[in-house]
Amino acid sequence: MNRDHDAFEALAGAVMLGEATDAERARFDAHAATCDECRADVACAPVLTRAVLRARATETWRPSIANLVLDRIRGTRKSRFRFTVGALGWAVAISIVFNLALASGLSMRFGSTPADEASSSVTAMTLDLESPAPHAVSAPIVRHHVRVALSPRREHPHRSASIAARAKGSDAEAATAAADTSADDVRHVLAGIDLDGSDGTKHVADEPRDLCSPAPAAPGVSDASTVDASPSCVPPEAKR
Amino acid sequence: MQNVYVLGLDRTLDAEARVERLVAEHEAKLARYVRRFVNDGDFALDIVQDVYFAAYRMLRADPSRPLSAGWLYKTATNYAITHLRKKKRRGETLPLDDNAGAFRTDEVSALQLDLQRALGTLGPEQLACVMLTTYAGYSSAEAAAILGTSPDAVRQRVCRAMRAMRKSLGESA
Repeated sequence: MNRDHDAFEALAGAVMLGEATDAERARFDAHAATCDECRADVACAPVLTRAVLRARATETWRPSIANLVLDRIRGTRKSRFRFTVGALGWAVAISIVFNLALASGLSMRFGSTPADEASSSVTAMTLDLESPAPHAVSAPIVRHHVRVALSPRREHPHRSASIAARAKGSDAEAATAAADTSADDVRHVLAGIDLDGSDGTKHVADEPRDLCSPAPAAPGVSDASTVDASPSCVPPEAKR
Repeated sequence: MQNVYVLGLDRTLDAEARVERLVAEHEAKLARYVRRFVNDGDFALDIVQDVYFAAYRMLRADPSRPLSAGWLYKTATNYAITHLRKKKRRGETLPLDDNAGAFRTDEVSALQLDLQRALGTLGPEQLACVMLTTYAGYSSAEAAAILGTSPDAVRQRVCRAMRAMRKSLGESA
């Protein structure tokens, strides 16, 4: 084989396809004079080309795929339409659910009426409790400003929370209130607790602790879970 | 907003009408080309359907895009090459009887079977060059544009393919 044989393959291909110019044909003939394989390739090419053309001409296969193609296209259009309508429907449904959830959440958060409080759990409230000072001759009224914050667990909405009032120098007393109690119920529970003590500290604890929201501890209160309980002495006449 | 919807609807209908016209013009020729390429009538029908469906998707996206027969042959050739490569990777070989089964009885002759067997010995790229130039009648420059290569590369592949076919037919003779 001539070492330039590979370089003349493109030229031989042009001759086989009948695309070679006169100059290319002359170059190939010069090469073919010394290359038997290229000469044989080009000599055999018309025979092969005729065989391929004859095979094409004698084919009588006439498949009908128009219906298949058009059915597929129409099926795609239908599925696209179904997908669009389905996606639109889902979007509308999700939007409605979201808006309902948002509206109900807002009403629970900001629209809490006494009726709502009675039916829902207590989340936060501020109570003013009054009790006479135990050892005062003039029996001044001690006002206890108590902030109660409860955060009942969602998975245990009816779990009871203990609310304890602890007076300095006295034993703690405890009462139990349901976590879903109303403000009046909590007030009633706290009113039953002895508030004797010099500082009248009220301690609102919970079981477990996460029922009681953290609140800034009042001065002089050591327990971190104690909520604001700032007593203020109010003269009886001022009270009147 | 309503105009956009109507416009999209018209575009879809237009794409479908254009594909319908393409199918009517090139249905049989393209199917026979692909069947000769892959040597399997059922696969040829699947490939041709995929080609027309690809045309529909393209026209649906851009109805103003011109679509020529060259695009159909280019896409069909690429699909056929992909099919042959997959078949080669799987190591599938078809017996002679199945080769004959791809064609109708009146098309089958000893020469045709030898020719089909000779075409089957070619690699996908060489086969694509021979089919596009010799069977479909494209020039080497047009075939190069379809295959994304140079005209000289097409001519070289045609030369090598003819040599391989000559040797294959010489052995079978």
